[in-house]
Amino acid sequence: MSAQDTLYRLDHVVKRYDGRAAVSVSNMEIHGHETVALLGPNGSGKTTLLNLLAFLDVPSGGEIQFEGRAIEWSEATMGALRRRVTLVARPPTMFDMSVLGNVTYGLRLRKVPRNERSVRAARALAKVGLEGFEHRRARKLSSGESQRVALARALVLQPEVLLLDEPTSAIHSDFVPRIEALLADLTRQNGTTIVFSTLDPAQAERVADRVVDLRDGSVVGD
Amino acid sequence: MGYFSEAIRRAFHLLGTADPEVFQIVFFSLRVSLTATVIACLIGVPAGFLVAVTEFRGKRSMRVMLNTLMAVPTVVIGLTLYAVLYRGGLLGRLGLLFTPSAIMLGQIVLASPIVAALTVSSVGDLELDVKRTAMTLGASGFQTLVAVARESRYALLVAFSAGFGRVIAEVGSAMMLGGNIRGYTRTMTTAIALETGKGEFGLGLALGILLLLVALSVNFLAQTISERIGEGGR
Amino acid sequence: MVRHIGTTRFGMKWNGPLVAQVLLILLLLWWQPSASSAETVRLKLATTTSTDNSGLLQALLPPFEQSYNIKVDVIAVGTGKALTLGRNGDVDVVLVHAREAEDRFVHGGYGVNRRDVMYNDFVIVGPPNNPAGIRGSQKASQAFKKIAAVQALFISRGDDSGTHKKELSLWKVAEVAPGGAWYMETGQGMGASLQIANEKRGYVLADRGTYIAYRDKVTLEVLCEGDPVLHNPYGIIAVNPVRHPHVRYMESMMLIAWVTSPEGQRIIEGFKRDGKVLFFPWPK
Repeated sequence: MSAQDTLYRLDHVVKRYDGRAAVSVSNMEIHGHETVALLGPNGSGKTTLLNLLAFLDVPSGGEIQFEGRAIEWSEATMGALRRRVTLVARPPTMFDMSVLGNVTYGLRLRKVPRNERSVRAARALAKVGLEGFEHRRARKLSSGESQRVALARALVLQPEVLLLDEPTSAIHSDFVPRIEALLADLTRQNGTTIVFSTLDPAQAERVADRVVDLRDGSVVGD
Repeated sequence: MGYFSEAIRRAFHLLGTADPEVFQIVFFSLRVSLTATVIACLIGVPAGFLVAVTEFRGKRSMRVMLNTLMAVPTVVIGLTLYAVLYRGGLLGRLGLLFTPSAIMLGQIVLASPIVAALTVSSVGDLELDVKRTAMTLGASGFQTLVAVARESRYALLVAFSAGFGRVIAEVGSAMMLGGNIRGYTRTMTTAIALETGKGEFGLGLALGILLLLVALSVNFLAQTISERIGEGGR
Repeated sequence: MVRHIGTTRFGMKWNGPLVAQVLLILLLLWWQPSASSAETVRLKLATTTSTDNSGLLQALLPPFEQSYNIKVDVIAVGTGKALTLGRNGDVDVVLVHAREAEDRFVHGGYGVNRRDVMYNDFVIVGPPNNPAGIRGSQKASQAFKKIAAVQALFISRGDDSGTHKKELSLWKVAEVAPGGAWYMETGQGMGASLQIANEKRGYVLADRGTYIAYRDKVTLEVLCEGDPVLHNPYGIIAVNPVRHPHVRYMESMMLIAWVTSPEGQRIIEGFKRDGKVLFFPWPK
């Protein structure tokens, strides 16, 4: 896939809750290997849009194309796509087990052998600055720590597409540059396509190749 | 006070001499009720989960229905199933009346609404978030179910215990559907009813003490298992 | 520190105690309550609670079961229900003591081959202070008349049983329509009714067998006995196989033959409770 290949194409995509449109995108494209920022205040539809891109929700109307093919919204198709696209939600849900259990959850689903799991988990935790946290109980962490665990949990799977909902919102300002550098590394080294949402225009400019403005569920400029 | 001291004395005696008839009754009751509760969980938990997460017309009525079914007298359930299972009934040809299977069927019908209702009330936003998190990390439908079940294990434990409690302690349905046949369909509760009817209050109470001990052991075991399941994660 | 055997797919640590617990649960789950084994035939006998409670069947049935390799499942309910079970074909054979109802059962085509098995008698029992003064009455209906006259507390089975039907026939002869505060219908078995009569110090018509079984639990005394009308015969009837082809007719006939045989009758005659004979074999 060349850098310019279109990965996602959204055509008049709408998601409604109780009759109200939470997000409405007439036309949007996301290309492979690029980093896109969704910028907008609270309630602008960023989370809803990310959930659609993560194939966790089905749009109320319109069409989404992935790799040039229109998605048929069946469980089988969505399930297969979800193995390639991972979303880090806000606030992230920690499973009621150890940090290690959380981080290796996806690896266990993919039947990665135990030794390899531990190694990859340790590496991912180190990247987010949580070395040695393996045996802490995930539910007892601070919000910043759990956000970083959730990030490690996704990183360890090396997804083709990584979606992040306000990834540094709970993180201490000292750590933020490290996380931002991490995201940049991902694209550079692995070619991961990244879409993240943020309230901070400066962060959007810093990290993303392209910024999409959202207001009241609609895209304002591209 | 006379009955109580006699009951305690007889309870010890029954346990100490390992009275074979009593032990047969205890293990029979345990087998039937445990199996029935497990099956009720296999039916009730997914059903409860479905009701909790799906939006559909009449959802509120469904919840009211489930809560009402929990309060149906056991003898009414027994009577209803009797009408179905006896020779002149819909399933009469199967000849299930007065068999252990009939008792188990009655207990499944008794326990399922409880399990379902408790599951519905325990599924909240956390469970939905767990579901979506599991899904985005690549879990299939079944794997997601397992993840949610593991996260809500304490709620499931309560549902299991409540269902088990209802069926191990009931007599109306077991009596009607089983017939209290000695050595074949006699449960702890129907035995207690029989002894009480014969005026043997001391023995009835002694059996009651045994019943409590059995229920205590099962719940203790269930609690331990649910805690162990939580220790997963490597 | 627990030894780890390995890790399951979902990250549960396998260890000794967990394995043991899971195996135990699986064992209990798979150890299904089994249906009857293929070799031994199960014969369903419906009888009354008083017959079952007397303990006679525990003496009478095992020799039969052993000789013929038939397992008899005894379902003890009220007379009405026992005959209903027979009518519906839910049992194979019935043993009750309600002659009129039995005759109707056979004439209705629900049962075949009725045989007399044994008899005992009814007695009128009451509180030692005997408020209605019925002690030594020659005729039971007279005693009933006296009870009604002073409105002494009377406990009725009220459950359509053989005993209840006998009681109602006595009221009829006494030309009394029982009812009111002094007449209590328990709707329960003989034992329960005796206990209620005991607590409330009332009169009750009981079969002698159950009364003897409860003698140490109640202070009631036998106040009227011996009237031929108090004769209580027991009959055994096979459920009609033409009406219910699935019933075990052969085995029912074997049981009927057994209880009426010299050997069966000998067991009935020899059955004692607290040194007292409860049932009398049918005179040939």
